[in-house]
Amino acid sequence: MVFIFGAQKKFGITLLISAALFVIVGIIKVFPSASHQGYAPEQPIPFSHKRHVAEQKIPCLYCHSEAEKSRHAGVPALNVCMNCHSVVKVDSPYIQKLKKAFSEGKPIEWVRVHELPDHVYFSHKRHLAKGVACETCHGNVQAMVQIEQKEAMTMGWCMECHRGQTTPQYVLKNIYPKQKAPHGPVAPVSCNTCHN
Amino acid sequence: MDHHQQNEEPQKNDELKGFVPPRHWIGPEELDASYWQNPQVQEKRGQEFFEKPLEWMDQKLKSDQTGLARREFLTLMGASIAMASLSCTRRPVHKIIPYVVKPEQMTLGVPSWYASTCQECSTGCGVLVKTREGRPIKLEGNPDHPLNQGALCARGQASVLNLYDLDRLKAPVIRSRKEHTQNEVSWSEVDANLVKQFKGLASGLGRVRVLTSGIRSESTQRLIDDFLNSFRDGKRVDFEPLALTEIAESQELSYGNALTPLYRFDQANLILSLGADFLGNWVSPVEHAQAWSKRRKLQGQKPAQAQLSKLICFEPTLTLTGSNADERYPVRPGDELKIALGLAHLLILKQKRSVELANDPFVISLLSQYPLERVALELGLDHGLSEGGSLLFRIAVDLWNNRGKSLVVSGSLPSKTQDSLALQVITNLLNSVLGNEGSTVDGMLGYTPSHSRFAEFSQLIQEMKDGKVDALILYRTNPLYSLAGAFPGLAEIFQKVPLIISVSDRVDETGLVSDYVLPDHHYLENWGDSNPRKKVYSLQQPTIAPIHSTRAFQDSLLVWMKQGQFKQSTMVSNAGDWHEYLKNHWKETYYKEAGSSGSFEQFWEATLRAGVLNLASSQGNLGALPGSRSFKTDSLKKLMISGGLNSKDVSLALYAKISMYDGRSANNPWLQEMPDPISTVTWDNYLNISPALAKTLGVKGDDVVELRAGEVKAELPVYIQPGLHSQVVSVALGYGRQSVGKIGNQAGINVFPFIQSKGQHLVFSGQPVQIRKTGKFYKLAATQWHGATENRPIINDIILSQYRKNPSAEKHTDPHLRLEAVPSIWPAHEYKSYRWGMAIDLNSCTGCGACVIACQAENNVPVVGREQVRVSRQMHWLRIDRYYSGSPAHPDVVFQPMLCQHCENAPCETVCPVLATVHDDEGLNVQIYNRCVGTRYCQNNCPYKVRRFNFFDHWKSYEGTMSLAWNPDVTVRTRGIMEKCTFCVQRIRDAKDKAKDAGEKVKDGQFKTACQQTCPTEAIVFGDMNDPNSRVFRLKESPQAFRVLEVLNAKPSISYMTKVRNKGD
Repeated sequence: MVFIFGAQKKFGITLLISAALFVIVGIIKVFPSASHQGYAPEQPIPFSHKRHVAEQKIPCLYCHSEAEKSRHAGVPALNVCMNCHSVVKVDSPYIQKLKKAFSEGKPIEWVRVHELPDHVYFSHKRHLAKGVACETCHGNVQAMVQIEQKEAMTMGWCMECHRGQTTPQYVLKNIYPKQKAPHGPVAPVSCNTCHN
Repeated sequence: MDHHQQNEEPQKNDELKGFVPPRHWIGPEELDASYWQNPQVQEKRGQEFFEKPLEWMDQKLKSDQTGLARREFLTLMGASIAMASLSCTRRPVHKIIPYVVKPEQMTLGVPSWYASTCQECSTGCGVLVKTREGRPIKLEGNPDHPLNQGALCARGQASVLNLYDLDRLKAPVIRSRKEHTQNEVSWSEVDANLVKQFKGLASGLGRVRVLTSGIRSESTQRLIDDFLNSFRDGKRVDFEPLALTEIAESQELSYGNALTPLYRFDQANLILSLGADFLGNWVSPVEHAQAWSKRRKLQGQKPAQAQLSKLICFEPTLTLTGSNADERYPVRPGDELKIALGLAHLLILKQKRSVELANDPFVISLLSQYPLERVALELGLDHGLSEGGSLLFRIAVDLWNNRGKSLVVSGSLPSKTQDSLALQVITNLLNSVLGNEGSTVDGMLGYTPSHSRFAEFSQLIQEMKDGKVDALILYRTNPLYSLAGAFPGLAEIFQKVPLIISVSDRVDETGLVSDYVLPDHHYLENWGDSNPRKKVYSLQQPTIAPIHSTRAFQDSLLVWMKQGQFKQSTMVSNAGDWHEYLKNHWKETYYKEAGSSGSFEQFWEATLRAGVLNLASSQGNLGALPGSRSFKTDSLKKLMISGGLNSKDVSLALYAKISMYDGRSANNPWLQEMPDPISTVTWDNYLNISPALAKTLGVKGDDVVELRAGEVKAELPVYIQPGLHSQVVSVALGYGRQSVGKIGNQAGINVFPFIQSKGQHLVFSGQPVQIRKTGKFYKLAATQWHGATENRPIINDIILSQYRKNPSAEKHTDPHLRLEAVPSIWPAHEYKSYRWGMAIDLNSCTGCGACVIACQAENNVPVVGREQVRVSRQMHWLRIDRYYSGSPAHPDVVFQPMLCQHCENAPCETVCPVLATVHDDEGLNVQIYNRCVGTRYCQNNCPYKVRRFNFFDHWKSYEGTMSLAWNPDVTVRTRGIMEKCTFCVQRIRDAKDKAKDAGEKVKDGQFKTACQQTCPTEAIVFGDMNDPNSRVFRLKESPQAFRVLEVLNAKPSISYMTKVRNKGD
C-alpha cells in the first residue's frame, strides 16, 4: 500500500489505469472474435454447394469421403472434381481453370472456412457414427451458393450439445431410444475429450 | 514442504549429532552432514520455485543495475496491452490445399505403417515406421523381428529426426582441395565427370578402394563388388572404428568360425561380465536387454521360491550393465584379462575341471603364471575374504556350480586395451570349461561378421601413404573425425589420393578433404536390406519420397557402371535401378533359401509387409540347444599378453555413450539433450573421476582439467563419478565434432585422438594419463538435482533373501514412506468405465532411456538447449532418475523412470486457480493448455517434480523441414503454459475409437503408451486398473508393488515394483 500511495504515487496510478485498459480492451477485442460465425470468404473458384447438393443431388460423402473414416472430412482432391468435370460444363471459365490446375498438377488453394484452434481435437468420424447429420453443425449447406460458417463453433456451443441442452431430437433419440421424450447428456464433457 | 523445513529449524543442531545419511543418494555430497547445513542448499530447499523466471534474465541483464524489476514490469504491461489490442482483429486466412490426385491407400488423419530396418547402427533391428500424410513421424520396434522384438533403443527412436535435419546436404557438391571451397552441382554433372575419370581408371591400374562402415547388407556388398570388378585392382574394405571385431576374431582362433555367437542371457543363471556392456553398447543391446530381463521378473513366481539370474560385473567405468549388476567391482582397464586368467587357472589347473585342458601344454604354460590368489592380491580384490575364500574364488565356485547355465562375456570399449583379443580368447576358454559353449553360447546362430579386420584397414592406409590408391570412395564413414588420432597425419595421407568421393548425408570432417561429396538418402528414403544374424534377413523400404536432391549410393554405382559401359554382371545389366537389383538379389538367394511355395512376387510382398524373413525360427531358434564346439588350445599360443599396468598410473578408459555412440548423429538435438543415464549430463562429455581421485587431485565437479596421454591432450570438465576405480578416469567418445551441423558442432570435446593404433588393433583404453588443473570452470548441464526429493525416500529396494521371506513391499518400505490410514476430506473419485494406470518394474528397468526419446518423439516434447537445461528447464515428460546406495567407492545403482503419477488426490489440481489441471473420469490428471495461465503453482506443489513449464516458444526453433517431425495428434505448446505426461491420451483415444467401431471395450494390451512400447525389458505396463484381468491390475496388487512418497496420500496411479537384488547380505 505504501508502495502505491506513497512516494511512487504516479506509478500506482499508471498501474491502475493500465490494468483497467487491459481489461476493457481485452473484453472488447477478445470475446467477439472467438467465433467466426457468418464467415463466408471468397473462394478461388466460386464453387456452389447449392448447385452440387440441391440441384445435382450429390451426397456430401461423395466429395468429403473421409468424414466416416477419419477425424478430418477432407476436401476432395482435384481428380474427384474431374470425375464429372472432364465432361460436365467444360466450357465454363472456372472449370477451365480447374482443368488447367489439374493438368499442371497444381492444387487449388481453397480458403478455409470452418476452423478449430490447433489445441482442439475434433473427430468427424465419431460424430457421424452417432448419427449426427452434417447440416446440424454446418447449416443448410445445400442452400449455400458461397459456403459460410453458420454456427458459432465455440467451446460453449460444443458443450451445450454434449450436455444435451441443444442436442437435436433425432440425435437424442439415437442415444436414448427407450425414452419417450429423450433427454440427458449425450457425449463426454471431460476436458481431454477434445484437448490434449 | 517449506513449513516442514521451517519447523525443523530449531532442532537442527540436535539432528546433526545423530545425522543419518540418506539410504539412497543422488551425489556423494549428500552423505556428509555438512551438505545439509550448507546455506546455499538450505536456500534452494526453502525457495518456492526451483527455478525463478527472472533469475536467468537477471544474469543476462546484469549491467542494468537499477530499477530493473519495475522497468520490466512496465515493459511487460505495455506489451500485454499492445498484444490485446492487436490480436484477433481479423481472422487469419488459412488455406486448404488438397491433393491433385490423392494416393488411394491413404486416408487423411489416419497413419500408415511400413515395416523397415533401422540403419542408425549396424545391428539391424526391425522397425515399423508410422507415417502421417506421407511423412514418417515415429519409429517403433517391429514385434515380429527376432532381434529387437518390438523394442527400440534411444538412438533408433531418435533416428527419424535425422531425416529432417536442417544441415543435411541438399545436392551434390564438388570441392576444391586448394581453395577449400565447394560448389553445388547437378547429378548429371557429377556423373559426367566421374564416369570420365572411372573410365580412365578402368583402362589404367584401377586401384579403386571403397571404404564402408559396418554394412550388414549382402546385396549392397555384392553391388559394390560388381562395381569394383570393373577395375583391375578394386577392393572393398569395411571398417567401423567402434566395432568389437575381436569377438569374431577370437571365435575364429578358438573354434574356427569367425562370427559373433548368439549369447543367451535368458538361459543363464549366472552371468559374469568382464567389461562387456551388453545392456548398453555391446553387439545387440536391445536383444540382450530383452533376454536378460526375462530372468529378472518376479511376477508369476512364488515368492518363497523366487529365482533371479545373477549378474556380476567387473568394469573400468560405470556402464548400464554395471549399474544393473547384482555385484559390481570397479577395476582398471586390462584387469579383466587377469581376472579371466585367474579364474581359468583355478578351474582348469587347480580344480582340474577339464582333465583334457588341464593336461594341455599350451594351457599350462599360459595359465600357470596367473594363480587366482596372486591375481586377487595384485588387483586388490582379496577384500571380503571369508571362510569360503576370496571374492574371485567364490565367483569361480558359483560359475562351476552353474556350469552350462552360466555365461561369461567380456570387452566393451573401456576394456579394449591392447590385450582385447586375449581377453576374448580366455572368455571363450572359460565358457568352454564351464560347458556354456553350446548352451548359453550359441556358435551356430551368430551375428554375421560385417567388419573387416583392422589389419585390412591399416593396409589401406599404408597403400594410401605409398600413393598406391587412385580413387577412394567412402560410404557413410568418417575416418577423419574418428581415426585422425590413431593415424597421425591422416589428412596428409588423404591428400595423396587423386580422387576422393565421400558418400554421406553432409560435408563432414572427411567430406572436407574430399573432391566430391555426394548426398545419400536417409534410410527412411531408401531401399535396402540387412543380414544381422545368420538366417535372418531384414528389409528396408522407403517411407517418404526423397526430401532433397539426394541419391542412393547404390543407384550411383549402377548409373556409373551403365554410363561408363563397364563390363557388367548379369545382375547389373538386369537391373534398371537399385530397387530392382535388390529384388533380383533376394530372388536369387533368400527366396531360394526360404523354399517358398508361392511366386517370387508373393514372397516379396509378404516379406516387405513383415519387414523380416526369419529362417532361423523354423529351425528351432532359441529353443533347441545347438551343438557345442571344441576349444582349440593352440589359439592360446598365439596370444600376446602385454605386461600389467604400472600400479601407480592413472589410466584412461574411453567409452561410447548410449545416446551419442561414435558421434554420427551428433546433430540430433534429441540425443544431445538426452540425459546420460549414469551422470544425467546433457550436451557435453566430461572426465569421470572417482571421488577418491578427485580428493587426491584437489578437483571438484565442473573444474576444467587437462588430460594428457603422451602428446595428446584435451581440456575437459570434471564429473565426480562414484563407483569408479581410483586409478581410472573415463571420457565418452562422439563429441566435439567440427563439421556436423549447427547443433552438434563444438558440443563437447573430441577424445578420439586418445585412441591408439597398436599392432593389429585399435586401443581405446588403458593408456596412462596425467591430469592437471587448469583453474577454469565449465558448468555441465546435468539434470541430476533437478527433481531431487531432498532426502525423502522414494526408492524401495531389498535383496532376494529378504524378498523370499517377506515379499510385501510394505514391510520393507522406509517407515517415513508408509501411509497410515487417514480420513480424506475429498470425495472419492468414481471411475465407471476405464481407470488408466501404470506399473513400472524397477527390477527390470535398465535405465537405457529409450522411453525418454520415444516420449519426446510421440508428444512433441521440445529441446531447450544447454543453457536452459542448466537452469533446470528441460522439457522431458519422462525422465530417468538415478539413485546410488552404499559407499561412494562401491555403490549400488537403481534407476527410476519418473513421470506424471496421475494422482487421485493430485496436489497440482487443488492449487490451480483456473482449473487448468483436473482429474478426469478415467483416472487421468489432465492438463488443459488453453486454460493454463502459467502461474506454475502446480509445478511447485508437485512432489514428484514432473511438470514442465514453457518459458519460451520452443516450437519456433523447429524450422523448415524440422517441423515435419511433429506429431499432428498432439498439440504443440506455446510459451507460458504448463505441460506434462498425458499417459499418451491420444493413443488412449485412438484405441477407444477403434474399440467403439467394433462395439466393444478396449482390451488389455490393445495399445501401448510410447514409453511402454519401446521398452526393451517390458518394465513399463499400462492398462485399465478397473479390469481385474489386466496385467497392470495384477502388478498393482502384487506384494512387490509400492507407490512413491505414499505418505503424502497423493495416491498415484503408477505403482513401482520393488527392486530386488540377487546378492548376499
